[in-house]
Amino acid sequence: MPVEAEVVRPDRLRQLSPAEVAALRVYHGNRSVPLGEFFDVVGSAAEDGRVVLEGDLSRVKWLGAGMTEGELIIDGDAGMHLGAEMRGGLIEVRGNVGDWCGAEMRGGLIRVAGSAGHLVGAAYRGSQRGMRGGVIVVKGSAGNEVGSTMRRGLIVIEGDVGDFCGVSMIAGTIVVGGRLGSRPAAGMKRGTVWALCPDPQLALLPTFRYACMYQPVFLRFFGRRLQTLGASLPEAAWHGLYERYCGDLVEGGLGEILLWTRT
Amino acid sequence: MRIRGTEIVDTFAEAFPMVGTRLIVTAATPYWADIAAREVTGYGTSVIACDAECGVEAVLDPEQTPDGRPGVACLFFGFGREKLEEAVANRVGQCVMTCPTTACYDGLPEEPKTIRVGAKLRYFGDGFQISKLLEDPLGACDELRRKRRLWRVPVMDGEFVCEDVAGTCKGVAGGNFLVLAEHQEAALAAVARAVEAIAAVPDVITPFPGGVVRSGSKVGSKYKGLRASTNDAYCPTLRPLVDSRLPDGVNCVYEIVIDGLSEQAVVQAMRAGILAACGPGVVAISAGNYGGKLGPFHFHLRRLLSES
Repeated sequence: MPVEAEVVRPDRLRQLSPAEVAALRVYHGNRSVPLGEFFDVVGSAAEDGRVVLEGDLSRVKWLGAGMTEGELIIDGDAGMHLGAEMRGGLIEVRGNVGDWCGAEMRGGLIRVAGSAGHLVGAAYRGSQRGMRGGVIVVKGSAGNEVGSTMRRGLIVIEGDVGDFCGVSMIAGTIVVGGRLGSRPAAGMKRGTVWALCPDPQLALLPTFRYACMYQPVFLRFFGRRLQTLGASLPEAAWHGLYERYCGDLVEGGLGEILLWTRT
Repeated sequence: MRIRGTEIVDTFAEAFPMVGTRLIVTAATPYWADIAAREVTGYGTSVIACDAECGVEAVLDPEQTPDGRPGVACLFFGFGREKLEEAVANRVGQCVMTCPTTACYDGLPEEPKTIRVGAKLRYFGDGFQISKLLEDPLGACDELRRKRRLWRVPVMDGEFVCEDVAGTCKGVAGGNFLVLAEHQEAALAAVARAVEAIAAVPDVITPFPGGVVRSGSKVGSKYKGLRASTNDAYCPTLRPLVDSRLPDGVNCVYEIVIDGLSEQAVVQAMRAGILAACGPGVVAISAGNYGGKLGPFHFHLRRLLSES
């Protein structure tokens, strides 16, 4: 049974003693229980705002949700909704994360050493906008609907992504180091899907039209700065030759998919 | 005080506060970066009649530029941020955006006060322009103390990339010194040495042609409406007609004007320039001022040289 632990965020824990932290309430299923039932709490985050979580947290949801500052280090896997709606600070996961990582995020940085589930940086169902700022870097792969309805910000998936990457994007940038799934950027209004892995099987939607082959200068600027954020993309991709596709034409066609030709 | 036989006159240069900014212009090759930099800093010698004072600060290697391409750092100075913004946006729009393969970046990203550059030029994209906002969520990189927005304006060779804003700072304009020489040949050699030495100093430009002014000016004129006229006190041909400041044996004078992003940068540049200029055929080094009544910055020649 999952634990819902949205109280675990550095900006909230830094003012509390270990005993007070252990007394915070979390949900275990539909039962409200003290955090201390699941965690041994030691030390203080008062000085550096740094909280380190250890253990298998793959069934602990909402870690770092809404946080505004500080560092949350998770030495293992994390569950769904990690960093959802966060506004600032850093979340570093040394394992994998579940679905909805960074959903509707406003600011800050999430770094995931492993892979992520579906709907990274996406909008919750019924919401009009997904991620609105900040950066998510996933060293592994990610599931479906990465960046769904995102409005601003940057998502880097160094591995493969599932289907409907960038679906209904309003703006922002998604970088995919591996293969794109089917129907990327469907319904995109603006924004960029920057794909680094040529895939002969990739069939873009007919509402994406080929524009040209060129070397986008802004990728050089982006590429250099992605390094400082912990992303490791091949340097050749920054100044490579790209095929530009405009779309989605059903939504005005002001978005783009950039496919690296590896030349 | 004498340096290599050249007298350092006991006087001072008088300079003024101006708003300064730095742009990094890059291009696919050093050739096009150089062309764009020369164009965008053209007709920018003095605010007496130009919209801004500008010049090339340094040629940059690819690893020194924001996009890893060959580039040139250009400095611009104006009276007030509004005037500087208008001048810089016009110049970038007409001279950088039009130049093949170029891009234009903020060269003072750590400065909180800014002028709009790409923010004004983006409209050339006629609705097809694209904004790319890059955040520094941790503030970890000095270069990225704030969000940086690039505008991608579609043009016929691809895209013109221009940063939304450029940082500004309080600069100093009008640092100067005069090279008083026995003849033109010696004067030209001296100012060439000086300009070369100043080029190695960061944060400064010498905005006049080749870094040198031959038509030094004084404030006002016998003609109404003329803000500046020839500095007759230093014109050799007028020696018997005016209150000449030329020592015996001086037959040619050149002035070097220095604008800098800080008072200290101007001091360093003046020191480097004067030390390089002194030598055979150079009778004296002097400086232009208005009696200390107009500009708040006074650079005393002997003092700045003795501090070196």
